[in-house]
Amino acid sequence: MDTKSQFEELRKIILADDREENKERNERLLERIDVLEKQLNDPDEFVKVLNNSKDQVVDMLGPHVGKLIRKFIRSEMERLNEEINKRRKALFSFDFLKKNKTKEANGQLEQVFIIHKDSGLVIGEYGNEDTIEPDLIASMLTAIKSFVQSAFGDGDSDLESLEYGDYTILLFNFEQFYFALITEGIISKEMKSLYFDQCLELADESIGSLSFKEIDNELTEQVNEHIQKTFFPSTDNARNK
Amino acid sequence: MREISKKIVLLGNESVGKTSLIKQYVHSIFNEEYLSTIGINISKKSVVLGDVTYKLLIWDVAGDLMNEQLYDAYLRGTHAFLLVFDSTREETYHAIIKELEVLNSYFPEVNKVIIGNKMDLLEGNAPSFDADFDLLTSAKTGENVEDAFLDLAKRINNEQG
Repeated sequence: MDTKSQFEELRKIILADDREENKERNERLLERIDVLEKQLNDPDEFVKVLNNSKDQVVDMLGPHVGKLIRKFIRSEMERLNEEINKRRKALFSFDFLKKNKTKEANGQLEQVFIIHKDSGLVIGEYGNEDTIEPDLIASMLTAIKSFVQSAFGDGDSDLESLEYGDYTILLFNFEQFYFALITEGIISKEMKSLYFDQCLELADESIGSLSFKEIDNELTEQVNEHIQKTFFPSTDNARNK
Repeated sequence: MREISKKIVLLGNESVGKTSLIKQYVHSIFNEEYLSTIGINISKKSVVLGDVTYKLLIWDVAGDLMNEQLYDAYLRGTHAFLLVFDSTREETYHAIIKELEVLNSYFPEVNKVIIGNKMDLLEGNAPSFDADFDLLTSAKTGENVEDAFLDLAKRINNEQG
């Protein structure tokens, strides 16, 4: 007998019992698997198995479920955080601020009055919409100006603006007359300055040379046209025709 | 048609009927409560004389309630004064005459019309006291009220003519 045959003979002798034992174990295992397979395929049976093995199920799934929950929460938090950042960026972006700043500060000029300082009579008036009784408004503004000046003024100062709700009435005073600009919304300092420049230009070039000894419709129509050209160039002058 | 705007100031003691005169015979009026805060009531009335319409902006000034500085500010730029007294109360007439003297010194060129109101309460056709006035009116019945404003417009018109 050569060495290889001897070694093979020895292996048979040593492992014979183990092989027998393994074969029996495999048979038992297969039987058990058959039973489990039947139980798993039958929902009622599966529930029974789970109920009878709660502790084992918890021990087995617990660490995995905990991880899953932590993972889910972390994922949701990251998603929420990203969403917040995205909105925050959008909210404070330059474009957003610019857009809203423009909207806020872009108050609209609604109407312009030129009012005789002493009598409170309307020298001229033009606006986007017709106002009910501009004559009464002009007289009233003049009375309010006089009242404020008398009550609080020191003689040199003058009422410069009146605010009511969304409306601001800007008052620019000249020697014989004053401008009352009715605006809606927020007027920036730049806009106010621009309006004053326009009033100054109108007073210097067109209105200042007129006589106010008698305020009639001929004069007011002339002045209305000047106001329209200066402050509302894009509108037609149909109101005066 | 030519349309001329004029500022008219209505003066007179309390309860001579100024507000009643205005209330029923003007075309439009501001809310009274609001204006009473600054002691003034503004209304508008148009009067037609020939081919001219006079747009009268009437300032009803509560002279009793205000200081001299404010009174002056309200009277500035006035084209005519309408002075009203109660034809049944002599003291209101004297107050108006006193007022007239002051106005003549400050506004000598400006027209002034004196009206004795409440003529409906008179027993005869004239007040029981000596009074020099332009017209008697009744805000209650409306008698002569239109004429008062017409008279005012005529005076302004003649002044311009």
